Amino acid sequence: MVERSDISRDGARSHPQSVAMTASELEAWFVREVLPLEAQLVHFLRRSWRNASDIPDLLQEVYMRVCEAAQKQVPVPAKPFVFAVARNLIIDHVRREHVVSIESVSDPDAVDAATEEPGPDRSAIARDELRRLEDALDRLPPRAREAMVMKKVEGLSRREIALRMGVTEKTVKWHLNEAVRALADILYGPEGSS
Amino acid sequence: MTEATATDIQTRAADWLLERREGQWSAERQSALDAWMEESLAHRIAYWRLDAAWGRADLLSAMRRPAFQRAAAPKRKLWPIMFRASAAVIAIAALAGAVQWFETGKSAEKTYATAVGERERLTLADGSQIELNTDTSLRAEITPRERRIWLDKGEVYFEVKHNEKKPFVVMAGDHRITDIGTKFVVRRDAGAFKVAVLDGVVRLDDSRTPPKILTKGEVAVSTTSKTLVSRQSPRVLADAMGWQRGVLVFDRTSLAEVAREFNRYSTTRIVIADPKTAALTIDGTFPSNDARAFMRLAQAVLGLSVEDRGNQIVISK
Repeated sequence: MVERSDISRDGARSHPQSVAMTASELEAWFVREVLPLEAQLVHFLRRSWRNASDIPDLLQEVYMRVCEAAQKQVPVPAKPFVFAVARNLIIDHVRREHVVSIESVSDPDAVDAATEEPGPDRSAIARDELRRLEDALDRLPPRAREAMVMKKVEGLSRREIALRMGVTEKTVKWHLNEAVRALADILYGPEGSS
Repeated sequence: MTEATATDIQTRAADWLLERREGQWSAERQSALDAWMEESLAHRIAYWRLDAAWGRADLLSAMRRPAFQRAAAPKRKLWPIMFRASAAVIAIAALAGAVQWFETGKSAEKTYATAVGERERLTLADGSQIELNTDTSLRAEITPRERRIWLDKGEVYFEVKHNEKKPFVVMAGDHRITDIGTKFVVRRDAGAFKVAVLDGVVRLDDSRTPPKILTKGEVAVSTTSKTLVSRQSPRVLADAMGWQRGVLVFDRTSLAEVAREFNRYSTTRIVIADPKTAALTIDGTFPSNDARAFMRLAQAVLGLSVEDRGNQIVISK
């Protein structure tokens, strides 16, 4: 398959470290190295793919391919590898859907260079993080936000939240479900990196 | 593209996550989750991603307001819950005291205690409000002439209802604090004593030195040999009272000190493996009851390696 050989070629380019990972190591690596790239990755996918409603599925597919590859060999550094996978994925889809213009695939290196930040003062991160979380909270849908504040800020149980909101526990569960997903999109996606 | 869309998978992952993080989790549910995760890498990734976001949101408890403020806005529906929370405080009327109360109408000596990780506020018979921090034990005796508290261990915040005819006295080891209309906090650990005055004035006596008058913003720290008084900024004082909101506030605090603080609130011990790591400093506000939330951040931000051994978390470079 074309995509497989593409991945291994790109993987080889980024000097992989030949260490196999356990599931929990893979999780830790994914959260540490790959998730922080999500905002840039979504930017890249949006620019390269016309149909915005496909983005969540494309993103999931990039993550899957990256993790599949990482299970065998950890790519070091992760960033060029992740973007190479994304570019290959777009190329595959462009081919599959018989879309003509391969030029629509923008250069991931350009995305890379534009968003390289200076190393922040580590000790300040925790406070920045809280500010970022407060911002994220403000962007949640109103009912989801309300449930989230009671859950995370006030530390109430689902039962207590249901009592206060005057709804059933099932409804609270739905609001929290919505809140978790929106929170991840805001914290890791491009909406949160303003 | 696939039968289940990314959104479907995320919704399912969020359900699992909420169920798991909301208590009432069993071995059966864990194996059901394991099976679901095993089904597809997409499931695992969706779960990891949401779990990471949910974990980051733990820091939001830093926005929690003190119990006193929360109590100010009455929430009738919450009454049964607050009642249950109060039951966590063990209030024991000593038998002898109880007899005396029946005979003379005097108040008995009562013991109040919190377990490790608990926090409790209560109103004494005279209307004064106190809040006990983690692992704290005190005895209170309210008589017509005097109000006396013996702080046996831990940390307590006092908001004293002033009454000139009935002095309010806190005994902590050989230290004696007499309230002159005030809010203050007293902490007694093994070998160390600290009192910080948040408002008003107190008098501090001990067996070795002349009495000291402490005013708002002053903090006295004693070791076995001496007592030092210093003045602290309102921010430093407020940070030190973070425990009332369920948080610990660190400002260029060494990891050694951070570990000591977290260890007061949990039976899970944080152990720093080497002096170099112990000397690293950190800023930030963290939920006091969740050392693991802090550890996750330390891992991500400071790049430390964290080994979770269940009842012990070992941190090293």
